[in-house]
Amino acid sequence: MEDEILNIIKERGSVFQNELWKTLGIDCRKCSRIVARLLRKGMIERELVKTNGTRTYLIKMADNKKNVEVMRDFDYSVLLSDNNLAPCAGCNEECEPEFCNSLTEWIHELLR
Amino acid sequence: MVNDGFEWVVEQVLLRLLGKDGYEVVKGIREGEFTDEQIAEMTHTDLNIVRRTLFILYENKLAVYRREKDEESGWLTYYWRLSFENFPRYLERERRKLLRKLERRLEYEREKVFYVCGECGIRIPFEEAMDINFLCPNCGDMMVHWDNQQIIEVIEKRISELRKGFS
Repeated sequence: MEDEILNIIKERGSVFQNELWKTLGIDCRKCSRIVARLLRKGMIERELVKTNGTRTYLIKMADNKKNVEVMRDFDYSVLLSDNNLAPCAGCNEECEPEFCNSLTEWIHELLR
Repeated sequence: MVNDGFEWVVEQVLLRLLGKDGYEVVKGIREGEFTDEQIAEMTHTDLNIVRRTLFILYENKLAVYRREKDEESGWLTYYWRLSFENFPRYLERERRKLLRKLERRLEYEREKVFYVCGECGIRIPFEEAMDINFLCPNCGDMMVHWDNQQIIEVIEKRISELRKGFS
């Protein structure tokens, strides 16, 4: 159903949420749940609008460019030593932090 | 400067997560939705590397796909898109991970007494040093007591900084 919703938005450019569930033949609660899931995944975005006197959401595909600005505000300094990124960030190895050499080196960098 | 710094962090994390090949794929993807084959062509990369990269990104919620079904053949086509708007959330998870690792390390540093070899810098806990008569396992030099108080303090400081941002 997620795919169907995305395909409809992609095809039309934008869609009102109160039309979406009718088009799909599902009830509005189910539609809201799927829309919420897609919002969480960052695949779509929506704004509150009024159409024919009814309040609903206008849903569009997410605009990546806009979101990139938001991510610049993230405070990443706690992941850094003087110059190096903590070895745990992006690391998928199963490790024992007690004995990880990369972590030891990084901790020593914190002392400088 | 802050923006440059952030981009550097993103680059370093991606290199670690995806490797150099995978990072090159990400750099070469244009904005929009593409199939894995289109991405392979666009980035001049082997299709298997592209698929592996997309899979890792998807697992970490840094890429999303939309499927389209061909009504005649029933085949599904996957259209991929990078979702780097989730990057702060990803870094947030990495921050929590670093916190967990440092907490474990701190516990270890607090409960152990260490001995170090002045010659080659090898550090081992007291129990192990005692088993080998305080002689360095590498060069045989005498090992001496090593005060790790500074290490404990610097880990404590970073842990408290890492905890600050959490609600």
